[in-house]
Amino acid sequence: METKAPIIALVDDDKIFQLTASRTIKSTQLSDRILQFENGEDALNFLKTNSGNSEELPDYIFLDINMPYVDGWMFLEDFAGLKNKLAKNILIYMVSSSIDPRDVTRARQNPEVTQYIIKPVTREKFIELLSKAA
Amino acid sequence: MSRPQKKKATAKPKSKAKSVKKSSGKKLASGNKARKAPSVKKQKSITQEKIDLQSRFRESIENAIPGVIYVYDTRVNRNTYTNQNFFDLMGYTPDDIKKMGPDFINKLVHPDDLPNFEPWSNEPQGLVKKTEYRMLTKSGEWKWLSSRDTAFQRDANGYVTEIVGIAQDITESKQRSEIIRQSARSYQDLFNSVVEAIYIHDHEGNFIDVNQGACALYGYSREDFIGKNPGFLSAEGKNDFEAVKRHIDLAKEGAPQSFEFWGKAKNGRVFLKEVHLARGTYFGKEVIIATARDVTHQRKIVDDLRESEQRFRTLQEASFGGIGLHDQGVILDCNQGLCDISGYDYTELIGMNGLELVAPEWRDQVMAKIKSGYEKPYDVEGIRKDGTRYFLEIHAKNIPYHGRNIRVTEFRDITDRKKAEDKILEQNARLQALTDDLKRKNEQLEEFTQIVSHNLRSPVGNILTLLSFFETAETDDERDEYLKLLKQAGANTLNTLHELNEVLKIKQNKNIEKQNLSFHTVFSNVRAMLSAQITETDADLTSDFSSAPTLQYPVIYLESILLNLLSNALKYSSTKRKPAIHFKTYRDNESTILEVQDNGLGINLERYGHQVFKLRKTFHRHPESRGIGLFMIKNQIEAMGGDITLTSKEDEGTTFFINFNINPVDGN
Repeated sequence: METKAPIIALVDDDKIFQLTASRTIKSTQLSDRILQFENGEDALNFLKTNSGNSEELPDYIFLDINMPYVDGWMFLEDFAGLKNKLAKNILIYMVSSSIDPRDVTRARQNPEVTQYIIKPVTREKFIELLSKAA
Repeated sequence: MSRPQKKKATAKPKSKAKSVKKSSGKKLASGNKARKAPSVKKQKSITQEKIDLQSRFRESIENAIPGVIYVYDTRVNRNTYTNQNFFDLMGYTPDDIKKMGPDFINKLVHPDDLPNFEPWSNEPQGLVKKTEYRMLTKSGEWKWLSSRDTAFQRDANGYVTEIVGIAQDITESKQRSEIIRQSARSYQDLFNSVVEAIYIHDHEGNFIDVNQGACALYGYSREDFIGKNPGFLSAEGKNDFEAVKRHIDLAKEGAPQSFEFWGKAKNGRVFLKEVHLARGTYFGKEVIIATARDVTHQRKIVDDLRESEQRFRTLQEASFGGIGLHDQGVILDCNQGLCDISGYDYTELIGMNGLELVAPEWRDQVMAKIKSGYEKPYDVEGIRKDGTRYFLEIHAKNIPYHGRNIRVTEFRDITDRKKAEDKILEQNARLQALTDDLKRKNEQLEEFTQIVSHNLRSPVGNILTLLSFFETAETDDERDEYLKLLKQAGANTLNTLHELNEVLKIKQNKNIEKQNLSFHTVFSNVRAMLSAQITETDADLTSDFSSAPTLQYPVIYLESILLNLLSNALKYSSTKRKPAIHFKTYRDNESTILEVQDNGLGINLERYGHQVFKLRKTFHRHPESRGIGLFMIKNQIEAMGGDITLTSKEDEGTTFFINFNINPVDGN
């Protein structure tokens, strides 16, 4: 399991969510390699730096919409231009507390987004999401 | 011509030789006496008296005859006698002639005419030879003479040795016939140079002569015409020959006729010509003179013109609007419609300056359009005879009319349309304002939904998650940690609620009390509040409120606006340069504008433009960025009917523009 454990990136400015989410994931025993980013810019910088290194690149990204500086949407725009240079195929889950239908629709229409998930995210949901093949 | 000069010369001198002998003007030629003297002498004693009588008689006869009488010796070619008339006619004295010598004739006769004289041989008795020739007078003129010579003496063989002749001055009649000849030629030239076709008909109608104009018109030669009846010139079936015949008959009687005739040229071209007939004479003969000219083209023009005028008149009268034709403003013609619209009657309008139909303040504009030949419709205000005004649409075009280039102008009373338009425009404006207002409110509402969705659900979700963690926690330490986090989440939620409450208060509190505020005063307060930061950043802070020094506004809002903008400008100043921040106000139409310019970090508007004024949005990694300031002041500004926009360039600076009164629907 250890070698095959997926790497997970949490991109969210909400520190409490960062904490609860990483603890929940760890409790599922599915992975203990969790990268934490406070905003889209930091996450993008990490991907660029490690674009050729599949050992470091995440398998899943849990992306918040509402963040300072570079928000979720802007991250997706930049990611679209970046993903062909990445040594790994990454699944992106958009995770937001917004139940605004415009956000939901916009996320569904974005080809980079695998699924839109409304917070809070339960343990069972994480298990389901992390069992999807990248 | 072929005759040798000598002979001619000989011929002449005969007659004149005689005259040489004449001694004096009036007296009988002394030569005669001398010549006859021998025989006379014999008889003198007896018949002296008789001879004298005879001599006087002859002299009288000779001198009484209207012409020059002469005797000419053909053997020696000299004149043996000439009567006095020769000297009278030609102006020479007998001495003059004597000096010229015996062959003076050769010297006096025009060299061209010498060949006219025929030599004599054995012509039968009684034969008269007529010769016309010119002879030089003493004064240097040429006189035409006509001589009639006949044989007088013959030799034994019957050959003529002496002739007698009479010469008459025919200069006058020669000149007359020359004039006639020239006038005939002038006539012919004229006849042919006239462009119009001219035909000379005899009374049977056949052609005696035609000019070149006629030949050119039909393409036939003159010879094709002569002697023929005009029938062959007619376009088949297009002419009424009975009528043509009547015209000819009337013309014969002396009444000039005009009619039209369809001709057909040799090449088959059919054309209309206008024919004039008149009685006249042609070299003494009674004739009918016909002149004609091709009027096909003119007829077409006339027809077209008539048709277009008819059409024009019909249109003019059928038009609902007023139509006026004018030349530089002066009305030449108009229809009833223009009378109806303007209140003037037709006779008043004709000759009137059309500009008087337009309200005075519009006249310059209308005149400019006339001068520039403007041909699109345009609206002005019209003025009626009674001074009332109405909305008028003018649509004019330059057209040729009766040979002039004039302007046809259509006047249309558009008062109803204008009223309807104004009403529609007004309603449109109202609808637009309403729509804009609704749109704005909707946007604000959506924004609020977004805030609730993002900023409120999130901490509440966290609280629920933490509570479940708390429940399943196995140690006290864990529980303590979750409790701490729960408190934090609760505080965040409360904070967000508080902010939302502020926004709601702003949105609902449109009737917040406004005061007459001095920008300078409020700005000084704000400056004092931020004095620490200003000192710290060493910012160069300037302001100019002279163009719009005051504003009716809630004091806490204006304070909040200035505070936020100044603190932002200080917070996001560039480390590369000394911050320079300038505040100024001015008026734009009814609005008061505040402009705040800095030379700070700037914002990439292409990337972040959509969220500049959103809650919790920050664009710089600054510890104090909370993403609340711009959001709040935007709400305040909009609640008071204004708006806030910005221009910015990364690493150059940002300028905010606050228009305080752009939407008077709100806030007032």
